[in-house]
Amino acid sequence: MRVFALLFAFAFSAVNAQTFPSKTVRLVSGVTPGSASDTMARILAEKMTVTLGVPVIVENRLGAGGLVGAKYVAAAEPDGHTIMMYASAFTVSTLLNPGLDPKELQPVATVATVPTVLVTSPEKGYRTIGDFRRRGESPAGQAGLHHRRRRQRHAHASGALPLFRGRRVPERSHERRLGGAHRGAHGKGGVLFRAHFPGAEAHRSRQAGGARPRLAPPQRPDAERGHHRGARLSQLGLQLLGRRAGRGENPARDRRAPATARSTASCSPPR
Amino acid sequence: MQSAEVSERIRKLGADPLTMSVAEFEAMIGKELQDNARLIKAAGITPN
Repeated sequence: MRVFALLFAFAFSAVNAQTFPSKTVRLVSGVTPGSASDTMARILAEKMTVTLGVPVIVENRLGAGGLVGAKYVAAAEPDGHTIMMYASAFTVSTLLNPGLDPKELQPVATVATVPTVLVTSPEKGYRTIGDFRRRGESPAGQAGLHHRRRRQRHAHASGALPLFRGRRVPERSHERRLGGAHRGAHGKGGVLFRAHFPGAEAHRSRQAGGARPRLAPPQRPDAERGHHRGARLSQLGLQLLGRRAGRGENPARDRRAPATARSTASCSPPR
Repeated sequence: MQSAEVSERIRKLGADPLTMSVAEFEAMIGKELQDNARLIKAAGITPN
């Protein structure tokens, strides 16, 4: 499953080719440094600095599933010097937030797609998406979708919707701390959406002695905090994102298994 | 994105480079917006 198409957008205006580039280009990344699209933004910025002949700096403006950064770009001078890397969440979050019309940003170029996988605890016994659906459709079932970070919710939701359209409503479970979603998926009978990418790669690189990239400090205006928290997944009509195990159905959880017990197994991708 | 070096670095990260024309890209975004708008309306999704 690939739900993480990345795109590049900048404020809508024709760029004057004779004066561009005339100053530093800001490449806004609306996600955490080290995440998928942020890492790609840094790769592109490095190359663009050479090809454009001016510095291209990545600026993290976090919050609201990328909308904080998108609003910043939309409000910038439309001269092409402020551009943005955005994920497929763009086509969901902008619809839910009245503060930004998608037409305020101009699609410029696609960059990449990132495979996203469903993983779950081996104890759950899910081997295929079909197993997951059948279990999720049971009358007693409640579902839980877990993912690593709140801001990834839109991308996952938009990818999941076509798969699970028309299903019953899950109860979403979400934990923000790294690893929390893994524990949630393990302990609550759920399945974890995880972008097959990133932070781990950067971490391994650093462990191997690679230099930690210099990052611009994240900027997240207080006024924007909590402005938009995305879709309430409990209203999405998705069912099968895991079934919350009842008492006695998950002995490991009932024994309050230690948090380190979070091994996962891949489900077969949907076909 | 035309650069082989950039494509290779993106592949090493586990992603697949994706290139298309601006027109195709705009059409794709337009279609996704339409589809998601229908889904959001049908499911009654609201920001929380």
